[in-house]
Amino acid sequence: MKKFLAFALAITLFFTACGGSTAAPAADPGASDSSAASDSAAAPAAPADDGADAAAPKRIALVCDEAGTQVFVLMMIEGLREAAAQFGFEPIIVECADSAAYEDNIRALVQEQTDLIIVGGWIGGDALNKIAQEFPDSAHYALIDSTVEAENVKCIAYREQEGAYLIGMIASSMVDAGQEVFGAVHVNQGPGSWKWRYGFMEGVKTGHPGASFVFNYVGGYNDPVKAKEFAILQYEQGARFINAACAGGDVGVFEAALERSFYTSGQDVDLTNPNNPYIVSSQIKDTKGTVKYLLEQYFTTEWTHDNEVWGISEGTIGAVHITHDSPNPIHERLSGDVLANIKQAADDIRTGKLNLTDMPAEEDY
Amino acid sequence: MIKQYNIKSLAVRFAQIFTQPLIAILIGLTIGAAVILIAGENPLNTYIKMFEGAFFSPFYFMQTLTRAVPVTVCSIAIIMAWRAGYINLGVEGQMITGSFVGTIVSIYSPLPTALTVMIAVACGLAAGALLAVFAAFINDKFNVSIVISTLMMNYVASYITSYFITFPLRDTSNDLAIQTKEIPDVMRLPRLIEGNTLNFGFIITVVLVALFVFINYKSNFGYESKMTGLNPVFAQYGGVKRRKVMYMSMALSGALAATAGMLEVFGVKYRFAEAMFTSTGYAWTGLMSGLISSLHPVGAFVTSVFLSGLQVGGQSVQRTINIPLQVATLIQATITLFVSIRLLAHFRAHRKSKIPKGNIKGKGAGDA
Repeated sequence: MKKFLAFALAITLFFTACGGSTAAPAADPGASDSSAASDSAAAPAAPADDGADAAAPKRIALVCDEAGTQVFVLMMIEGLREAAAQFGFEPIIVECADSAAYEDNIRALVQEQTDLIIVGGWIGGDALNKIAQEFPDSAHYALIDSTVEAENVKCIAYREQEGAYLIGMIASSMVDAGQEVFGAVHVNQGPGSWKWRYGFMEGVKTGHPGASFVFNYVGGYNDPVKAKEFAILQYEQGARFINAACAGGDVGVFEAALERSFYTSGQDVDLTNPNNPYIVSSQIKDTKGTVKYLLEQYFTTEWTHDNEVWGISEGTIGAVHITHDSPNPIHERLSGDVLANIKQAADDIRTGKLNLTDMPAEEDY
Repeated sequence: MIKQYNIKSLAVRFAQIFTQPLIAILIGLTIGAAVILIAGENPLNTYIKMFEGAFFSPFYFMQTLTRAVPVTVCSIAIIMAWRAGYINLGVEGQMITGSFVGTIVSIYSPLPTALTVMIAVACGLAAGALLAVFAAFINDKFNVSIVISTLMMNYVASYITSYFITFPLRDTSNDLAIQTKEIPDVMRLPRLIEGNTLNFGFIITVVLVALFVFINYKSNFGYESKMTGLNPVFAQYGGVKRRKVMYMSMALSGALAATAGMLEVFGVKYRFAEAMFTSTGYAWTGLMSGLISSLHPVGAFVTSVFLSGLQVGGQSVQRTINIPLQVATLIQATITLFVSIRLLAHFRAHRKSKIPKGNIKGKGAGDA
């Protein structure tokens, strides 16, 4: 009997909770929006009455990987927030915990009447491609860092090999002649990392034509511990410059560089650091600028679906101290002549004299 | 056991089953509320959004059910082996292998569609089953622990398939994505409702659960495997062939795991992509729901829907209230943790009941 009473009590409590939950919102997406907006301090205030539909701020979502220590993602989020302050829309940041969450979230965002859905990274590309074809008129779609077939998705991809080429040249000048092993730690051995590896190798070979390379792959976007172990491993194999290209794992490579005294470089944003003189440069991939550019286009001009591929000439790809300035000091080995030489290469890429757009496939290299 | 069905006994039985999980959920929600308060949000509002975004709106509930499909099938795959006393932690690897083989066969087979579907499914099931049977084989011959070998083979399966989809079998039409081509349109499982991903796979899942209940409670094999799980020595003494039960249970478990993966590929994703099963952790959520429900298939189904709902609801909270993913995950974990305490309480209750009554009734540990 006691058990039965406990059960009855639990059931009552549960249904009171559920009853409250179903009764409270007016069960349409519009109503839940305004309550959501009023709860969030960052979002611009939503109009109190439901009638003012035209005055309601636009809902713009960024669907991305779990941010963690990934500057690639963190910068996109920052870009969205800054643009929200500028254009006055409601920013929705959706980090996806797993690969299936992309499709769940994008579908739900379409259902929740989001005006523009920006997906950052290739993992969400497939889901976006499917949903954009299924609901062509329900929202605008954009994809950063990959391209898909759907024509109503605006895709922005990058020519990372151009930045990697500059980093390769820097690496080449940081290492004495005779030390011919160069390393790099990547996320996985896919076509994305091939652009980085190809550019890096070509750049290194300008100064060390007989260089050999050690590449390792951590297998995830947020794994500093494994990245550090790989960096130490590469150092033991003779690498004296190790390019950190493993997203959130980069900090592990930097730590190893400080312990073992080898040179390294970061990625995406300026990661040079006065406290770690071994980080001599950073390969820029300006995702923050990309998000802001997309939103500026969305709010100020006619929205088009023309895909774009950006490189050094567009200013989104580059290398710290070469194409992008840094408040941190330049390493003494990158003296005037050396720096001028690399800057010349950047200019050549910009003008098209040095063409890295057409890359060989990894299998044919 | 004498079967007596009357309203009072049914109510007591229901109370026994549901009191603990409900209290556990309430405690979980209370602790979660504290976390939400620390994160600076309104707990009530967050919970309303979370449960609304998972269960109380048709669109989201269907999303929950879609996610529950692979989780449920994984959990019955785990239960299948566990009831016989073999802990198969390689469901993820078997899922990856089975669905990978199934996908590749359906993309590249030159045969007519109907034949291709049958061969693809058969190959997928066989691949999953073989991987599980291999673990049983090395246990049989070399006494390698099934727990360890199956667990390790997850990595083998994951990295081997990863190689294939990164290099020889990659869909090169997309510049960066690491995935295979899409399976042909005709082979996709039909959706139950337009615009939502809930598909025919859900019906297959329900049928599989029913079939599983039948096999386990009504067939010779089910009885033998349960006896082996309860007491292998006694079962052998009673004439059960231990090796046969081991191979059968592991093969079925592996085939079920492969089914889980294929339902996801043929029903939702339409292709095999890098990390599609490792990052989602369907197998581990399935393991959790199997354990929480004390290895009862129907209980595992309900728990799987609940756990999937927490994940879908967590996404919804993130979208609507702008709370970070980590807080959403924390709430899910808190509730899951307290629901799992039921398992512990059950063991305690079982031990207590054993002491005075002895083994007159001989009621199985697996009976929840």
